Amino acid sequence: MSPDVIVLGAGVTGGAIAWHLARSGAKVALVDAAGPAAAPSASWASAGGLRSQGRHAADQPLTLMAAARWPLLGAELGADLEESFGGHLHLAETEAEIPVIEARIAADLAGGLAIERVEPARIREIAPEITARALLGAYTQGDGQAHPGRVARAFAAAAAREGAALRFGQAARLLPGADGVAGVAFADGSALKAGTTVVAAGAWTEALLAPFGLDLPIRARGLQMLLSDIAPRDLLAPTVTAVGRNLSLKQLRSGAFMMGGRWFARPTGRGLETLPLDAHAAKQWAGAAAILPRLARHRLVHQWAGTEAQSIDGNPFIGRSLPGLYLACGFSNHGFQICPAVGELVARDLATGSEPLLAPFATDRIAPDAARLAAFRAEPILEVA
Amino acid sequence: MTDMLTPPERQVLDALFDRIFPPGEGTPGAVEIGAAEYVAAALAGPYAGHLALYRQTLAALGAAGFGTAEAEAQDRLVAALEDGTLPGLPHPAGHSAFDLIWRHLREGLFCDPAHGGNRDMAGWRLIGFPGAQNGYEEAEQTVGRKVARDPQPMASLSQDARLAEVPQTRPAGAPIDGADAVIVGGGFVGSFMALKLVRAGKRVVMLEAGSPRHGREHAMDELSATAFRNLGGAEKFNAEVPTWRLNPESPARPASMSQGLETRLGGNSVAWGAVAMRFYEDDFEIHSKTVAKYGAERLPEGHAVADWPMSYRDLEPFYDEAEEWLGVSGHAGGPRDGGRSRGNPFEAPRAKPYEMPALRRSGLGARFAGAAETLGYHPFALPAAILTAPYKGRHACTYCSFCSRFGCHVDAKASAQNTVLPEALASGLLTIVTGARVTEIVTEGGRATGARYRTTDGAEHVQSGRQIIVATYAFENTRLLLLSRDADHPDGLGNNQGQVGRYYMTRQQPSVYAVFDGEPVNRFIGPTAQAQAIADLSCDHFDHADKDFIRGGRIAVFNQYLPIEASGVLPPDVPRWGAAWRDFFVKNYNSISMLFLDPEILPSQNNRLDLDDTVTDDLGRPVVRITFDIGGNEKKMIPWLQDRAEEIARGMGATRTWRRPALTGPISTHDTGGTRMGHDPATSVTDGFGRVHDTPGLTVVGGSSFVSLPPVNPALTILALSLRAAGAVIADLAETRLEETA
Repeated sequence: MSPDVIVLGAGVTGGAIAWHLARSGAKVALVDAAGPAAAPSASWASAGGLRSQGRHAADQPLTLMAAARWPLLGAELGADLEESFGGHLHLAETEAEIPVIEARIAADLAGGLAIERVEPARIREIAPEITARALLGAYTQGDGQAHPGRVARAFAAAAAREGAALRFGQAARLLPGADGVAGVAFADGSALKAGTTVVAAGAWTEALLAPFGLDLPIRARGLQMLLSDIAPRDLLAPTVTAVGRNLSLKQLRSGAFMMGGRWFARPTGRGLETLPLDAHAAKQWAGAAAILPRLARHRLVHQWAGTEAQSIDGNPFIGRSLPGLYLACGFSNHGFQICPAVGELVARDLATGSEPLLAPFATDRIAPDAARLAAFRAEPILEVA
Repeated sequence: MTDMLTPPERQVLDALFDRIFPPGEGTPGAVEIGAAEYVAAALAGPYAGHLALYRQTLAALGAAGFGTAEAEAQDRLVAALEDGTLPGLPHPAGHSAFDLIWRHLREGLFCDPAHGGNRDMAGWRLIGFPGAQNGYEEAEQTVGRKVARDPQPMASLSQDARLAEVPQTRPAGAPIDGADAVIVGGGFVGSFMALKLVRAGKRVVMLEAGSPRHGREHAMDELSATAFRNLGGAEKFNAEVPTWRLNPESPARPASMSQGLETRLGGNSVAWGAVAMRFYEDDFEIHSKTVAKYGAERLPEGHAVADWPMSYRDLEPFYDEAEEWLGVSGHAGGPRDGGRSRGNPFEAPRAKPYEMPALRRSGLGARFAGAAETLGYHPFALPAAILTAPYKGRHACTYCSFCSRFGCHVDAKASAQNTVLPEALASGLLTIVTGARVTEIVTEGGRATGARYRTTDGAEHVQSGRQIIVATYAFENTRLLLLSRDADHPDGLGNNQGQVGRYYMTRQQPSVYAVFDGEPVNRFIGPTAQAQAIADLSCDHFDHADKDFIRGGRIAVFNQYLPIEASGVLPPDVPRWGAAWRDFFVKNYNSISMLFLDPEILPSQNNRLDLDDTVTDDLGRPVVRITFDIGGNEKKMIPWLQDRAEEIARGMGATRTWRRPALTGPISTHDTGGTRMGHDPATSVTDGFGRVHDTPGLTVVGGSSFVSLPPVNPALTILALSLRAAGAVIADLAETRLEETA
């Protein structure tokens, strides 16, 4: 029996879409070359911040929807997602950075977010070990963190419980149809056909679409994460970012600190695999230690990089493309928090044919000229000091 | 959950359990902790095979009126159960009914709550064991400081690390064409061999009897890592456990295992303790050096001491390579001029430093080092294949409580899966076939040409290759040769001179236990190999002129002390049940340390492996029969080492000590010998590259190659020997190719 919808890519986005579709009664197949959140995908590597603040206006309705879902999601999925809700704190360390915080607060309040302006005394209450240099903060109390790999696995398992078929372990490409996409073809020669194929394959999307002459304005970039040794638990409740630093910093349930941000990693040439760059790791750690001084006494125990799909305007591409093809990709840096909303809205969009909240993410909304796209893709990996 | 016991049986079980581990003043007994509930449930699941034993035992107790008896009468009945004199008791082979029930009760007290016992972690709370923690900080390893953590079950662990995927394998089916080399065994040795071969462009088929796995199994789960492994968990080995006799005149009995052996992908690399130490220079010349210094008459009667067919210098580059592949942490040794070196002063010269600094020194390790230094010894951190910094995508050690016997939850401990297999598989030249149980090496015209294997559904095939490499554990390496016969090798491959199986050696573990009354030592924190050791009493590092033995052993203080096992470690005067047992264990769980002795075991004419004609495995093939006893040298040397260890323990502040016997038996995980290497085909099975003297095309690698068993963990040397052997396989393949094209 062929499914109604094939979802290609079992990361957090594909998993959420498959689960919501299956829950609404559609016959779904979730397909992945490896499995949920497999290395070196974004869902495997991501630091797992749940941040509602500082988003694009088009993203705000999605982030609000998702923020309402997260506290209940673990129970809904029947899984430990390592979720916690210690808030998100964005800091200014210099007078010059204060207007940036103020602008973020104004924009987020306009979008209906519960964001607070926090002065140094309040910052100290929220995160006692933070640097005394923090002058002003933007704080969203309901934000937090979760484990993207666990979330992706829980989505897939929940989708399966709702009747979705899981097809993991074999590479797949898109199967051409009369004037579009007819399903997927597996490496072993077998095929699966469906009326709609949703591509939620992150950085692997480019290669999947290329045979159809589609060239979305996205690029693959490896982003690297660092992990410290274990500290006493509950030293740092919020995820912390800073205006003047390329950094996100959080403490995990184990007591370890995780450092993300947008530090590029080095492509190895083996598929889309990337590896952390030591030069970036040093700066990444130094930035984190400037925000949280105790990190100077800690050790690096683990580092890794995952490959993400970055969109040229920073917003994802969600919606119909060729006949039979639906895209959901380009989420780098802001896909995890909104994934429950994306799953819900895409399922609705596929059922009703029009979901206004997704209109700003139309896949044909921009057609950059070749030079601009080439420059975007050629941007250097190594940060020049 | 189906309860397999009737209400009256359950009543007796509850009464028995609360007699063995009784409630105290304000402390729960076995029933309240959930141990009886655990056992009752397990009898409907993993322990269904023990149901009959329980029924019989409970019936015997019931018939004697146990359920309604007064406490004193109950104690007499438990004593009769323990010594086997209670009428109507079952008498299973190899252990008593009490042994088994006692073990299961301890599981129910202290297993992870996921298994149904240790209700609300009440067992862990009672003894102060924090359970499954992601790791510990350095300060928490301070002696005298109680760890302030609530216990945590496995289910609450966070998954911080981002690690590589499961190695891609294929289930056994028809053979694969075009193999340059066939490797029998998917453990550490074969995996190192495989990477070396594929880097040289060779096509390799690896036949693994067990199933695939990522190597992080059993992380933080004492019960599944021990009980299920030893009593039915290991897929192949438990069907073919060797028998053991002390000498050819004694009857052979099933050997009991100090540790289970792993028979799935990765082999013991998943379970090992990861001490990664090189042999000393003179270990390779043990015969000539001893004779030169002390005279041949100092070699013990019946010895089989010989030099290795290589020197340390020959093996050194392969030690370097193996350490790099593993990611070994340690401090280089050498002379302690100015007290600067923290390493082993007796260490053989090294061309390179270790890949990263040693594991940190625990409080207990510092205590040991202080006492050892006071006695004039030179303590050092054991080098370990456990990361202290990020390395090739792996996570550094978190100093959790579960290391030896456990898959590492963060890949800090090296395994085949997290070191060599990903690269070897990525080459496209290696195929790992799982569920392929090799039963025979196949020959043509006297040359090895393939391996006959059985798939899980019972089909038989022959995997052909131009070079055949046997890379299993010492027992199976020996058995495979003995069971592979042809017209040119009527007694088995490699055995035309009757050498296969000879000179088996196995580590004895005559540890000294030490109690530090009332002082928390926190030995449950940190990997086993986070150890301080002394080598001053190893090898010929001290003068033996006035001794009545040669050689020596290593004394070390290791970590890891997990409660199911620890609750069975008792001084001779503490009973195994009742308030006395409970009180001793609850009071001293966190105050017991162990000085671990690794004595050198000399090869002996008495000790060998052959086939047991009376005991067969599940395929009807004879199992290995071990003939092993310690010799006169060990009998003198081990008690002397134990005396030295007790001196150190007292220096550490121990309030009492006791010791294990000198003979602890075979299957130690340091089982070696059986296919001895040597230059002379009359006295050895293979050359120094593992090539079988009398069978071209056949290489044997692994601990079975050992000529002697120095007081050092064998794994690193086994891996170095495998890398050295790989060079010879590659050279032989090239020659074969030339012949074919000529």
